[in-house]
Amino acid sequence: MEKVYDKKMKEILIKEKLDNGLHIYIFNKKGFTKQYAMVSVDYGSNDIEFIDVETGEKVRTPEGIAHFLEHQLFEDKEASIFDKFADLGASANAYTSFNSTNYLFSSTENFNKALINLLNFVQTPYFTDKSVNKEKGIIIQEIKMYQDDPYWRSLFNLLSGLYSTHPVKNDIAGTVESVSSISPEDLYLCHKNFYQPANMDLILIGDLNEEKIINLVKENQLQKSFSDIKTPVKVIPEESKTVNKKHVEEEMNISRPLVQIAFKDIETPSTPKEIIKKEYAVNILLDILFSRSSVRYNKFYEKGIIDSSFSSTYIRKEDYGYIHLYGESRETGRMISAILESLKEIEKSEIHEGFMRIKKKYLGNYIKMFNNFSSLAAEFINYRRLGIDIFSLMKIIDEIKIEELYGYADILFNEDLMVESIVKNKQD
Amino acid sequence: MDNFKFEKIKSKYSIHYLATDKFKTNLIQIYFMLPLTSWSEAAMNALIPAVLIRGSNRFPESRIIKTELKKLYGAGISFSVLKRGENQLLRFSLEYVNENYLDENINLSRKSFELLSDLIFNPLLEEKKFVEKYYLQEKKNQIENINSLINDKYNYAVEKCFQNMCKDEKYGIYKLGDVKSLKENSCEELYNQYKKIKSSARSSVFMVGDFKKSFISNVFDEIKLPSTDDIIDNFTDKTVPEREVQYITEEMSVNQAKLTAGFRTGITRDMEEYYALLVVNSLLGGFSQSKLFQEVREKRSLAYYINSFIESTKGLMMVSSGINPDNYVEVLKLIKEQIAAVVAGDFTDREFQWAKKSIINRLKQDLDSSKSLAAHYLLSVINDKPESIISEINNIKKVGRNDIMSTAEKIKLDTVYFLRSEE
Repeated sequence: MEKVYDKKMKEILIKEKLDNGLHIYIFNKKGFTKQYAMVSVDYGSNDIEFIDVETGEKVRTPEGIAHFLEHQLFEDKEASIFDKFADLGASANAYTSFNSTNYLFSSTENFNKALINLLNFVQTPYFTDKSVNKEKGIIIQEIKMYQDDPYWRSLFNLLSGLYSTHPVKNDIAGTVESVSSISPEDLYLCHKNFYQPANMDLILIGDLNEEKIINLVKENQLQKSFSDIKTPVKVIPEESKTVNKKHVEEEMNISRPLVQIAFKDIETPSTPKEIIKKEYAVNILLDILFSRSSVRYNKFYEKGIIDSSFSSTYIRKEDYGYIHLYGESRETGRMISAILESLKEIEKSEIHEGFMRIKKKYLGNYIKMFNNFSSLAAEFINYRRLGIDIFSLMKIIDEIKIEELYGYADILFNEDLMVESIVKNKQD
Repeated sequence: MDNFKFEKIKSKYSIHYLATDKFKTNLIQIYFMLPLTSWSEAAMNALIPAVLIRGSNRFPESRIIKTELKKLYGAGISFSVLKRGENQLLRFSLEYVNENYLDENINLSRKSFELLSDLIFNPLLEEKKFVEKYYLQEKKNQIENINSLINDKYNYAVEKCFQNMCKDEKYGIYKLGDVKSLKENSCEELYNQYKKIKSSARSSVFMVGDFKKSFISNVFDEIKLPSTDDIIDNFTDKTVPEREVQYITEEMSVNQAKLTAGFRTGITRDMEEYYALLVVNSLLGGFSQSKLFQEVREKRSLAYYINSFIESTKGLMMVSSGINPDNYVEVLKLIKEQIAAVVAGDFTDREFQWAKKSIINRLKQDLDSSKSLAAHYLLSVINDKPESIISEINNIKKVGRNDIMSTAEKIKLDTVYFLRSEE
């Protein structure tokens, strides 16, 4: 057991790795009422192809299976999982992203019992034709609900324009067809491969007795046998250095058009630290260029080309990355051309001036991150997967040099790698 | 410091303060309470904060404001327009990092509060009214905001159900007003409305965090709130009209249909039965073990979501669901049946305990978020029954099965609104 006290943030973090490979992280928050636990599995909607640990063969599973598995694990032989949590006054939930599946609960009492419930249901698969078929009905409703969400729809139109083979272009929940094809056998296969303790992290936050809890988890894990400690090799198909489609358009029943623009970033940094550094550096650059304190944002806003819905972010993962601009506008053409025009005239002085001011804001954001349990857990996992200690984040940000920003400003806004996704109003 | 109670600070104004050092940020909210009178006045009131936030005398442009906020370690200033009962509330919020976590000694509380109060009380003017340019831009944005409700089908369906249900009452007025009257108002009228609010509206300040004594004692001598009256509602019409259920269907190209059912409870937060109503709502549609979620989604796969919530100042309840349009009749029948089941006492003791535990767990968790603490206390102040979370939990614990049955009996279906794809 390792105990870290971060003096500046006044935070205690306890780390432990069990023999079966499970990592435990505990943020000990004295004086808080809420207790929060999350099991994060390093398996998301992107991981549809992998080498099976048992046979060594490459398998391809249906799109949306990680999310389906997340839903199905809540089914149990004897009693409903939710019932068990409800008995303890705790509320359980789960979500699937491109890169991970996360199971969590929050409680204010009975934490230890709820924690054992959580570990047990995540590590005990039970799938039948009946339960799988029932879940299909629910998930198809969920897919349909998201199809009515103009932001979600245009985001996936954008991603399918950016990527021709990378699975990030697929909706996290899959399609009505792919979901309909899922069988209990598929689910067992994915569970066996990815739900190994070594492929999971357990994050606990609250006013907790860490030693007692670690012993409890150890004991629980010793009662279970895991087929193999190896983790599967994910297969991500090679992605093209160009974009798939430059323009994607669709019509929906909405009040005004919605625009998403992306610039595909084809240069992936080689080390985890460089990935994080680039993620922050490009986001700082975007902040300088497009945030509400920027000249551009205010110019566009005053001209009525954009409104407060406008946002800019840079997504950087180990295997893909892109700059993402979003906004709602009645004048999509003017909005896009104004943005592109303004990107041709990025002045070094503009970056310089903005860069001087920005670090205080990032320090403020870093401090705020420790306030909210669920976002702390999510951020923590994000960095931990890359092998980065969350308390070293400000140090990494401090190392960013202004020259890096000049460099990114020069290469990343490449119009050949740009995709635009527009959703227009049906009545237009 | 650990009972999480708001105290009223001695001041000529109504200042509610919860002292705690457990958060890494401090929160200050300033509220103005405006009774809903007409769509056009609601539209004007909602526009005022948007124009104010654009610039003050000391900070005349958005860029200057945002640059200043960056220097203040990413402090956030925002506004919201809320509806509680038949009142509109304008809320200005400031959240900034607790100075104890910084090396620099810059008096963050004072500097960020000065920025907030300058924006609210010292607006940039031209020719004795708001800056015309800001007024026109924000008016345009508000028109877009009102129109964009349709993009979010969940909230659209809930709002349409309430609007139809209360079309002859003030509660039927949308919190942002309507596009038509917005287009008709002028910058001058807006400024006059602002002056009126500034001189007479009920107002109060909520503070959660770790503030220095000197800051608290100085700051409120400097600002000029319109009135010493707290934001207590004495305006909302709470009568339950006697009438037939109205059924409304709207067609639109959607993939998932929305079925919403509006109810009258006649029970508000200041009443003894309020605690029982909380449990009824929880049991019916408040969480994943609720009757509606179990019957409609888990047992029959008829919906992706179905839930219920209460409005506790006017006395309403809403059931909202996303379904396949062919299942309309069946889901509506199930909703009615589940309410009848609660009235008849047809729920297990386990379900009853779950329902209570679920609310209590959620309320306890609110103790860990400054915004939730403020939001909870706001409702109790508005309903003139200031109550801490701990006291509310104790009252919920006392609710018995019979209280639930008799309270559920008072819930009357009023309006069913159905949004579906074109046939």
